[in-house]
Amino acid sequence: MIHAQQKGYQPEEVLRGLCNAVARNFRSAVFRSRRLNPPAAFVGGVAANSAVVQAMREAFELEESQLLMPAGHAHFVAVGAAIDARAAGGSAALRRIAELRAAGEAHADRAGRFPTMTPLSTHRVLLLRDQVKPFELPYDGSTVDVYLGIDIGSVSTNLVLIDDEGNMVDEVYVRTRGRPIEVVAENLLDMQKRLGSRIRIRGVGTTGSGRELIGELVGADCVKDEITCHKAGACFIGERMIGRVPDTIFEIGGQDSKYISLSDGVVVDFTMNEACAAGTGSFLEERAEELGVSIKGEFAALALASAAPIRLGERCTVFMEHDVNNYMQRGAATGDLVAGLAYSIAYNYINRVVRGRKIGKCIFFQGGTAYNDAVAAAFASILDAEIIVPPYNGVIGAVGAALLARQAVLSGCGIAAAQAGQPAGAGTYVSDRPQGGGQSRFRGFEVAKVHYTLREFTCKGCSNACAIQEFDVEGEKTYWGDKCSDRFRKRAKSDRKPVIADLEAMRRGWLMDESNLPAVPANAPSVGVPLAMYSLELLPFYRTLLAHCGLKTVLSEPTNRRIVEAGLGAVVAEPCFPIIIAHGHVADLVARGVDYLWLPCVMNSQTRWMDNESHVCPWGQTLPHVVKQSPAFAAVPAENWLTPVLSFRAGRAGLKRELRPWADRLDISPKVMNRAIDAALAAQKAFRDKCHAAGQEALAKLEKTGQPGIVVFGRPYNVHDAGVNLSVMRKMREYYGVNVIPLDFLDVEDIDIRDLNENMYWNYGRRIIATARLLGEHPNLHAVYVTNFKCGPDSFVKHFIRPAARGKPFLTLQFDGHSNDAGMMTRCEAYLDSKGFLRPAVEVLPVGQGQGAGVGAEEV
Amino acid sequence: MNMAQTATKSKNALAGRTLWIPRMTYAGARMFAATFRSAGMDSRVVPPSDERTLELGGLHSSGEECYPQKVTLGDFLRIVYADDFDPARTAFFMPLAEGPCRFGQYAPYLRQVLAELGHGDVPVISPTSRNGYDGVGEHAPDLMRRAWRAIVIADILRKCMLKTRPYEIRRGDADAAYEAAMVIMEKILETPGLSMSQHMAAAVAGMMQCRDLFRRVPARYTRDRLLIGVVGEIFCRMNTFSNDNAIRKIEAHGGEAWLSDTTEWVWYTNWSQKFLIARDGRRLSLEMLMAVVKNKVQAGDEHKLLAPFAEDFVGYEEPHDIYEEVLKPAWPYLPADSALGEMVLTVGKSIYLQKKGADGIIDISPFSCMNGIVTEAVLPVLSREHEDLPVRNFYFDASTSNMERDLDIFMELAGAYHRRKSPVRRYPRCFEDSPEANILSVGGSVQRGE
Ligand code: SF4
Ligand code: SF4
Repeated sequence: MIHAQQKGYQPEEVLRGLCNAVARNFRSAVFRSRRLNPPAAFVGGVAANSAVVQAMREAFELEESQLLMPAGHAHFVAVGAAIDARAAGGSAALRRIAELRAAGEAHADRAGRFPTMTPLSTHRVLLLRDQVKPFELPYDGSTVDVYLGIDIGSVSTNLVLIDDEGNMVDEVYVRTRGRPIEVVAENLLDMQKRLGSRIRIRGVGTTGSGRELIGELVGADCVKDEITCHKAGACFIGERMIGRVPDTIFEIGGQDSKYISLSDGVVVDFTMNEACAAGTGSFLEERAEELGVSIKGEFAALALASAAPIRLGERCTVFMEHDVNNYMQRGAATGDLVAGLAYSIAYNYINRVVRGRKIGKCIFFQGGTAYNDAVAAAFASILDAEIIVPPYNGVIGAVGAALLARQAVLSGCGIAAAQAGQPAGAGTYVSDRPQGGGQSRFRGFEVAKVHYTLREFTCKGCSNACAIQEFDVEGEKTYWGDKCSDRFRKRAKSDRKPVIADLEAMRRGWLMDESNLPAVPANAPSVGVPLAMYSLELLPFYRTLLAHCGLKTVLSEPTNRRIVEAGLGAVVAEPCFPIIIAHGHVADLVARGVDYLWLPCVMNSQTRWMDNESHVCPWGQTLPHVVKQSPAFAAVPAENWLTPVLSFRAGRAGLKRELRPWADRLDISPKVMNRAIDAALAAQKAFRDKCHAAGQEALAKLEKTGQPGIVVFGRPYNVHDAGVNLSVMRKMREYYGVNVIPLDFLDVEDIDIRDLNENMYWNYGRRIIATARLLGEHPNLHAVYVTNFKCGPDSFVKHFIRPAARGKPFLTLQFDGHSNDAGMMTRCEAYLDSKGFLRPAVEVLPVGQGQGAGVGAEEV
Repeated sequence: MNMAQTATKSKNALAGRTLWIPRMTYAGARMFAATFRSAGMDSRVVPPSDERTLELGGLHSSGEECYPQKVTLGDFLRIVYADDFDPARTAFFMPLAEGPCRFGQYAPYLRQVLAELGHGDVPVISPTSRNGYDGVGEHAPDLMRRAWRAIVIADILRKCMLKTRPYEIRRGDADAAYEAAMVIMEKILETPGLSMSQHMAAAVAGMMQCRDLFRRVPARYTRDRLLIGVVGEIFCRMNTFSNDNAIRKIEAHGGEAWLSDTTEWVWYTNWSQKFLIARDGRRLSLEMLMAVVKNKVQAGDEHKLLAPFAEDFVGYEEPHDIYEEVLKPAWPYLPADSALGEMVLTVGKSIYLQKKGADGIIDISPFSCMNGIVTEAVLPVLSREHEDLPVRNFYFDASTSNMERDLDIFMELAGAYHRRKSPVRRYPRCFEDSPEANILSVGGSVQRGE
């Protein structure tokens, strides 16, 4: 929703979308694959909202008369309890409640008074805000050249003015209120009133998710993702004030929090908190309010004075609320409680946002919550490390945008941006620019006068059918509402051209290749093969096998929205996204009425590392059993499922043994089946060999040309399902000219990883770690690791990737059904940008190269 | 082989170190530690988990790994972070498994975290499930067999406690008997120098004492409690901290829990070892012979330790043959040839327990557990095909559990099922004695003769 607001939707639309989302989520997350026999009753407080009722009807495809709101729907449960109590003879029921409560409390922690933690202290917190003086306009009344940075963020919009030396001239922090255009317009006018006569805007940069819309509207010189801007702002400040740049940025705002990991100035990991309030500032505010403590100043003072912070642990908001109240009733001191809260917000951030990602040595803590010194102290204590709080910690993204705008204007007027070695403050001034160059695109303060038109339409580019809004600002168009970033969004530019072949497309061609398959009679029975999970690697084996057995294969459609929805409707429990999608592919085939469904139990892979097992994961192994039990497929006759156990590790003989009974069942002679297996294995090997050969060629080409490449690694059904990964490989290649190498083009079978993990019994896990090891050995290879939420094996595998890559920075992209493309491309852009794949001149700070303290002002 | 080398190295490396045993099951860890002590190793159970466990576990993991991993890691890290921590005097015990679920990654990950903290030379001792945990034996002769006995003993004691506690008249008596029984058995198991037959004789004598402790707990054995089978992920269902005292909650709601034990897992790994050998086409190999012999020896030991409880465990018998009684009935839902690990035990045991008269099945798993998510998908069909036996999955992590919320309604369903079900539960003798006789025994102890 927040994203929708930023995209310029009107609040009404946002609200309508919200109701639909409630209904849809209820269906997919609570009701799931159950069957509904109308009529249904809709009870609970929300039933009073007629828009939600309407949305529920739509989501469940119910007629008006089929969804009933009984009288007293808001208090339904209480009414039931009363009836029940009457039936049971009131006092007995109450006694039972008392008994249960007593039983619960008897086992509650009785030891000690309150569990406590080490007192907070700021001795390891470096508060840089104490070291800056407020800016003063020149005494003589002259004007100052400034750069405007605007961060149109999730809840708040920040505007800053920075002068040529990087001083903060003005900073504004306001709520976005779902109306980014109005908010920016208002505040620019206000800025003009206050300072208009004393400043000259030389450049404008926008960031945040509303950056394109506002960028067009105000006439920005530089439109950059928020990761790059936060990085640029923090690095500039670090370089300028302490001569060090961060390798880790913690950013906790009111409603969201971010984490950025840098390695030599390269963005290597980035994440935002996912729908968890416990790691954000508003949570702290609410608790403070309950305790009657002002969040500004008083909170930190009390917390830092506490000698015994109460250990609240890291728990969800609901639990925390309960715990705090509980301690309060039991007479805990307010100071001890707020200190405990400071700890718990830090713990929550570490456990729910950072989640085991790398925490380096130079940690910047920014965002609105960083005004609270107690939280900074808590981080310092938990991590046993120094925590640096930069000045302007609430608006660093806008600062970065302004600095990048300055750089863009400077380079636009022919002044090299990256001249090193100039003393701080003696920066190159835009006003020194050669005549005519470096003109800002700024349209002036009166944004409201800028003429724009809005047009809405539905994109027919794919079955996603996104509702698109087109803003036309004096002939320049910006778009909102697309899921794919494919057709409408502007992209960072790159003049690069890939030097290697389009390996992804080649592989798809080979995977789908039917030319070597024997002809099958037109009336042959049809076998549906879901184009999901291991099929994305084993399709040559599957299809060759089936064709040689005289069966016709029917493939499911490539993953799209319909398939995802069918999958969500068919799963019983809550597995990972690839498994959900696999359910959807089966549904697609069932709907098409195939004679058989090919859903083998793939157990493991062939490997030369026989010391360990080479399993696929348990969810993959049991997929056929789980799919068969789904109520969505109850109508499929048992004999239509073809679910042989395929143990590739057991080799040719093993496969023949396992498939033999299936041959009998399908009336295929053992001889034919055996020949089919031989052919299928040969086809699979040919496929693999072709990939490896092409991969070698590509590596050699990169070697020869000295060009960098990006290896995309992960499980085949993530890496090679464009519907899952939003076509990340194609986009990197097409938009930025990246030389993309999917992991199956690298032969890593011979790489030993036992020194890192002596018990890696998952074959894909082994391949992923081995690939990471290979990367560590090729300086010109960079990497994107593609994974998905809830992947059990990857939750462990990922810990071994970093050491395998010898600390080489790689980007992690984690997908799930709701991944939004804007977020994904933002991460990619930030990574590619800092790796130098985008316009070489855009390199923000050549940090870690020891150019001395003066670089900062120059480098922006 | 790789594993054996690690093990031999670690044996020498163990000298002068305390070997810390994770608290998967309280009794099991204590019996295990006692057993290691008998072989001259200073072995201790990690202290009970607390908030600090979760803080440290959370600090060193991403929260996407399994919850048990966070608990075991956090418990070990509390030792590492303690003021008196001495890396030269510390070792950790963490079993391995050959997948396919994540359990087998705990040990490699623990090693990595220790290395990152600069304690890479603190040994992590890991027997593996691949060869049915034979690796346990690499640290001292016969240790593996003694360890097996320790597991059986812990399972029996827990079973005694679980069948007594719901019926005790004075709260706390059954737990006290449980503690006293563990002390008795620890003394026996930690005695060095016993031959295998001396070891067994002492253990059987000890177990008789323990049995009498439980028999003497003043109790009112009435037949109105619902029997709830508790299955699921082994760590979470056994570890009271992780499941937030699920068993006590079941008891507080008028239930008696039949908790799947640890021996079941060992029987399963033995079976799957044999199965894998056969699948690899080596049916008559030496390896196979060893597996069969091991099975026989283990079965014999279990039989001897169980003998004194014949009367007490009437109606409480565990499956005799893991394949026939658990894996085979599970086959239509999850065939053990392709569904590996706990999930088949969960499904098969649910059916077994239904036959034994369970009124409902609770499947306990950590949040996002690879086993739980699979069983959750197939259990509804199993329930439908077994008289609509109430079956419910409960998931746990530090902050959320759906159990608090849903246990009431589950017990209602179990009650309704109890009234209509066809399997008949058998009760041991104590239920036949008139309740009055037991009430009389309050305060004094009633010897019920052997
Ligand atoms: S390996 Fe991960 S993504 Fe693949 S099926 Fe298993 S849990 Fe899902
Ligand atoms: S059974 Fe579940 S919780 Fe246990 S290790 Fe496996 S995945 Fe983790």
